[in-house]
Amino acid sequence: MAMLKVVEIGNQVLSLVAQPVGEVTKEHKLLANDLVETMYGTPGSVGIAAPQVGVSVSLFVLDVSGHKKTNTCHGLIVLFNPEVISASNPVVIREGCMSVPHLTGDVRRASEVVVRGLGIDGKVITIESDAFEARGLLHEIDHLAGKLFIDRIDGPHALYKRKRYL
Amino acid sequence: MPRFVLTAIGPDSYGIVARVTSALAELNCNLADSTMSNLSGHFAMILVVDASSNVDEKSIYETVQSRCSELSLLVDVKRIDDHVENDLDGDRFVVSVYGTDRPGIVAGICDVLAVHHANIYDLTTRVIDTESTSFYTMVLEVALKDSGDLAKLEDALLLKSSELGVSCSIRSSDSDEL
Repeated sequence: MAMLKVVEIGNQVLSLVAQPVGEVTKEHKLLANDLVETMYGTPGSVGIAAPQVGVSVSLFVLDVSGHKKTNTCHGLIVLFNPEVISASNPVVIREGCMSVPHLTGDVRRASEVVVRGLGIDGKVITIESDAFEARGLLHEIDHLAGKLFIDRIDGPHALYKRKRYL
Repeated sequence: MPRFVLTAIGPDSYGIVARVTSALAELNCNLADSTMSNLSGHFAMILVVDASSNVDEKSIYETVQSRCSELSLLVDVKRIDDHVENDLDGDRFVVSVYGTDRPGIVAGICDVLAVHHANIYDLTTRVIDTESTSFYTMVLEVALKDSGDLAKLEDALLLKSSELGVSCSIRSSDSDEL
């Protein structure tokens, strides 16, 4: 396993629609492991998508365990080819992103979601979640569609400067 | 009741808003509208002020300057029409633009909006410095009188943003009635 370098806004890979995987290969599992290490090794990070390390593959990892805004929690989630089955009850929360240093923004996202994809073992899994985990799932799935939180910002006064990423 | 616009900008420090508004309060001026923000370390204020008939541009300017003499503020006061059309009609949309900083991003995008009669209500820009470059972000709220024009506007924005080498997206500005 290895910590991977996180690419920042301006890198074209963040604007691409990530490639779905046909099946989960050994290489995909190694990439997933590296994403997990990068996530856990970055203070404040609760999730990371493959395009954020420069790889346009439809994969993200997420773990919101212990976060104060977490309600439902599935622990470590590794998901390939995720799709949103349902999303409801939108709320506005300020969020940031490792790939967008120095900015945060108020973003309206569903607080209740059902998401389906392939797990690390290649089997289909369905995740029903809410609150902060739902937000994390939607934020990471946006990365796989080539979207950043700036594309979801709630308005001109919803974009804020910050000194650094956590 | 005469209406004035006061602009003031100077190096940010404690007490700018308090001093300026206290000076206006001394003259019994009423703040009708305002926007204030820290712009790259300079605090900028634009205030629309209603005053009594014995107050003029000179008295506002001199009172503000005398109360803020050590703040190095650039102050300007002008009389403005007290009745102008404030048309808030139209469907609202939020436009997000971001890309490597270069001259002409705001002009290029806003020219497309103007051509398509998208009225800008609000606009914020931010420059962020990444490891390799400066990055420009702009978020606008616009109103379209005829939302049937949205598809044409979206196509034109994508074409212009491609020319400028920036990302651009537009979406409805939803609000929930409670």
